[in-house]
Amino acid sequence: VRRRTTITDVVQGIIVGGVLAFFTANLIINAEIKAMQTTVNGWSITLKCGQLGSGILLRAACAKDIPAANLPEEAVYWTATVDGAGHTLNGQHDYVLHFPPGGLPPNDAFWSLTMGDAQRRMVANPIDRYNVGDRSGLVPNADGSIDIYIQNTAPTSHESNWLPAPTGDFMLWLRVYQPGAVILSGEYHVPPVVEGK
Amino acid sequence: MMSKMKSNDRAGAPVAADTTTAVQAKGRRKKHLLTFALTVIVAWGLGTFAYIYFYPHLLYNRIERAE
Repeated sequence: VRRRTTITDVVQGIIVGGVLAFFTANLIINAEIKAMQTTVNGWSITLKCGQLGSGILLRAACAKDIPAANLPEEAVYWTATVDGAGHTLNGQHDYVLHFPPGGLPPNDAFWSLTMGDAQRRMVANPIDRYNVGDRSGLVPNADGSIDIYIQNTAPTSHESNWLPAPTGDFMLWLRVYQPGAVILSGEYHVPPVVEGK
Repeated sequence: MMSKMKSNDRAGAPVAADTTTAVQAKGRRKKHLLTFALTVIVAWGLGTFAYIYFYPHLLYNRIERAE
């Protein structure tokens, strides 16, 4: 039997304390991510990242949530893992993101809606389309509104507005570069992702 | 009488020694436990702060190495 010494006490204490610190720090960072986000219609956004002088906790939360985030004046990022009803987005269902006429995200550069799987990776699909946006040839409806079809299989006669989804859970990123003033002021809300019928 | 006392002394000696050893062992255990607990608390607190402080550096270094 090995004799306990002060050295073994300290070494074991450091190991146990280090493991506890790892889990505690992650819990705190995750709590800060939730606290810094505003969620409307299932879309979460934060306008606090990318600014010098932010506290160390906010910096860690931003790094974990949106690595290498730009200043909000340069780009804003919404993420969604649930639909407008609060149900987890899943490729077993078909969804529609409906932008009313004039309701696209205002910007001075471009916007893009990107698909990611549950691990935030791009999703392989038969048409090699990983995002849609203002440069992907979306076809508007007769009234000027735009529907984006988010589903695993191609929507009949709406393939130009199709964002392919995986078969399992997925998430969406909506990025808007050089966003308009109504976005920066928090007045603009992205419409909910609605499960199709 | 004398022989009786001597006999009692002889009988009591090992008991006293055992008690002293047990008390010393208990004290040592307490000291070890205290050292361990204090180290855990300090490592927990400092480690939590250090992890949060260095998290962005660690993450970006990992991303740079992966590229």
